[in-house]
Amino acid sequence: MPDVAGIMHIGRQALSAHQQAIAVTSGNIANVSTAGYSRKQVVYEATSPTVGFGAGVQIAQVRSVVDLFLQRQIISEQSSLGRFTLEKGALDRIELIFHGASGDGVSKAIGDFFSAVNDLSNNPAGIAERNVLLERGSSLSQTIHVAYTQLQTVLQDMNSEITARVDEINAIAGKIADLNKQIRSIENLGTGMVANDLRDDRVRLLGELSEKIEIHLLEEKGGDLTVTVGSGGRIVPLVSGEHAYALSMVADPNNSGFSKILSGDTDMTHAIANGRLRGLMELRDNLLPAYIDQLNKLAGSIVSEFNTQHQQGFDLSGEAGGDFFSPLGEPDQDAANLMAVSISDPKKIAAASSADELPGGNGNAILLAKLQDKQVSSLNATFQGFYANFTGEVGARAALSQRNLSVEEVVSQQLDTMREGISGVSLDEEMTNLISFQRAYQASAKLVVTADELLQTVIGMKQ
Amino acid sequence: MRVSEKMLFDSTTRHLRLNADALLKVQDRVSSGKRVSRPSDDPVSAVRILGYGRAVDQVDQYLRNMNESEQFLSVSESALSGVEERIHRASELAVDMANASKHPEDRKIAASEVKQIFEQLTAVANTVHNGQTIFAGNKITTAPFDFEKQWQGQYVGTTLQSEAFPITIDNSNDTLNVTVDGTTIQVTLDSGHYSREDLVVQIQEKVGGALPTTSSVVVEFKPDDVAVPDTGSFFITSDTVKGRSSVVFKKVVQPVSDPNAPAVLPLGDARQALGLVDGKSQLSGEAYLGDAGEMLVLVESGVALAKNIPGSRAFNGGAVGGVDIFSGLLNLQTALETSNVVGIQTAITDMEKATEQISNERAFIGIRLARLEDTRIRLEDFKTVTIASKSEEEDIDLTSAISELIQRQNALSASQSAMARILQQPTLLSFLR
Repeated sequence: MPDVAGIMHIGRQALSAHQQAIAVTSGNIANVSTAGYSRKQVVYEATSPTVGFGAGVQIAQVRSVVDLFLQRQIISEQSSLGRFTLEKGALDRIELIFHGASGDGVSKAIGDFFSAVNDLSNNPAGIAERNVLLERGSSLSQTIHVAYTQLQTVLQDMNSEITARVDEINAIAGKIADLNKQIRSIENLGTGMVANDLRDDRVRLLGELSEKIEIHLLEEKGGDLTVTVGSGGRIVPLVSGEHAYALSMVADPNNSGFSKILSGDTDMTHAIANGRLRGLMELRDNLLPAYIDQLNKLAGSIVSEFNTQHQQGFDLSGEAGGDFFSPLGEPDQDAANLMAVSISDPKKIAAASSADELPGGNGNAILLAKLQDKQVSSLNATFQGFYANFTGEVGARAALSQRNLSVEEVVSQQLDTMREGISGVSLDEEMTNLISFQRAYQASAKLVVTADELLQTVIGMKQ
Repeated sequence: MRVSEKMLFDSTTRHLRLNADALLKVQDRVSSGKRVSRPSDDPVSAVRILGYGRAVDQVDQYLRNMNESEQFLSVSESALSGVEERIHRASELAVDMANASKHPEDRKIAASEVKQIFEQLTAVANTVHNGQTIFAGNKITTAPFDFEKQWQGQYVGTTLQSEAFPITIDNSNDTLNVTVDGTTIQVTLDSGHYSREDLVVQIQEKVGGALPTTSSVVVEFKPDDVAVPDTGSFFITSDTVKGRSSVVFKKVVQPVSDPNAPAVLPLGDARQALGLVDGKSQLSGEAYLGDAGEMLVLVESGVALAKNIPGSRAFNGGAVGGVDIFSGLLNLQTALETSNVVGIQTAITDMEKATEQISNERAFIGIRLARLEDTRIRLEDFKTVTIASKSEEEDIDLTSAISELIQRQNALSASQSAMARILQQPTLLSFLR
């Protein structure tokens, strides 16, 4: 049989429960603008009655309203977002090296160079024309060199960023390991409490981590989260329980001293499938070297074709032509970097096609001029044609990365909206809850007052 | 679906950003006038635009090359036109002076005019354009015709076979009439049997001895082919600069009764025996100091055309057996100085051939200039079309770009005003109380 003390007890319990509920609601309202915050919901349950009649109320749990599946999806999309953001940024830079479509760059320099060759053919004995040709040759070498240097700069930047990112990844992994420990110690107390805020923190960190490197998650019993990275045959742990396994960097002699990424002894460099790191390595190890290669190929073939033809001619003193550009070693390694004019005396330019033709002979100059339209076999195109195709290739790749990024942004945005719909705080809702909890609190207070009056009556029975 | 506050704000912020972004892009395009300013804007177009630009630049270069060529050819043409006129004058003189009624004095006066014509032609042949001589082939820093240097006038006889020696000289063939530097002398050779070397010495002695002190000759017998030393011709060369030498063409006697009978040389004439009957006067040494080179100009892709006329072809007749104009004039001068009518008549033929030769060269120039003009027209057309194509690919259509700009501006202000309304949206809070 319920007694008055029981009613008082129920009232007191109820006050406490509703007070907590108001606290939770105020927490939600305060965090209406916090990114990544999941609203907390109070779950009431009736206490088991000590007497057959009426049960009190207690808070079973305060739970975060989250859709775990959606959460995983969002974390996963962060990887693609990180990768495409990086790619677009880098390709925007690389694109600029190719001077848009107006070509104040390599293509124009090649054109100007051959223009000077043509002018030479019209006045082969003219010293002025010869000097202009030497100048334009230098200018062409310079322009190619600048493009090479700029590509190299981007390459080096990619490499430095890899180091910085790996450091960040290790730091975040450490923090996640710490959080694992804390979450476990709280949730394993047996009180049924869920460490909501810590979990929220952990999710935020996972998002940051995922943006840098693709991760796979496994939730263990007891609140631990195991994070692994890698793909294909190589999957290694990054965080396991309270241990964080750091990634390390080691210089790779096969890749010009750039670093490869190791986890312990396992080479993870090619096993990282997504994330900003993947984008960085793709650019550093594949895309940029290929572009630099193309530039080298172009420079190398200009040097070799021009030199070969130049050597067939005769200069103003009747000697056979030497090298116009400094000869480059095989293969075209660093051709774009080393290309330079090796003639300083304008009289040494070989414009005539035989020594008898001097000084008016321009046979060789005509052949040199015709090189501009020659289908070079190593390039499968003319010099300028090759460069134009190269530009188109870069442009297409940049356009692709722009599209990838905007699609990914849309997807991320939509997922985010869905998440907000489930876990976001709606002020209207919270206000309504606040009012209802307030009323419940007032009612519970009334219970206590009523119980008190009853007791007074009982006590006042004995006169 | 639940709508949280954050969702609303995030969504409107994002749309504001997207609209502002798109507006900026359109503005860029309108101000620069270019639809494609980075390769990624339209990669396929970018490649095409580069190709068009390159084609236009090349056409400009070809047009420049052609200017050079056309100038050169025009200067050559007007020079040759002057030459043709002078040859015509020489021809007139020759025709006039061939008339039997003319006195030797008249002919001497004509000879000095021919000498002047010679000098005028020399000057024209050495024309310089932009610091280059135009008729010297590849030797553009050399004057092609320098008559100050080495040449002397030379008379070359016909080929004598080795079997002809030793030649017997007696009073049926011992008279020789030679003109050197305008002076005619008659020598009588000593009778005897002469080997080749002896004959050279004899003629040298006789002719040299009879000349005035102002002139001298060198007599030689040169084989036609070094490998066959016994067969060759007599060379009588005046030893003075700008000298002239010739064996006088005394009229060949024709039997009156039978005009078809072969001509008979007058009695005592040594020309037959010495192979000097059908010889010719020419310039010895290398009077042409240029070469036969053609200077090419690249007028379009893969097409190189010659811009010059080598002097050896125009003035010396080249290798095709034309006439050496200078030799012809010299011979005319000699013939007039010595009143040699046969010589004058040969000169008339020579001058006719010379006129034809020069005329051919002028025709060649005319054809070449016409071809260049055609090419120029074609290239200009091509350039116009290419520039249009490039513009189509590269430039924006201003009207549609501006209307897009206005559209974007509207979109931006619409999203801004939507945001304003949302910001002012009352929450439940405003209704409680």
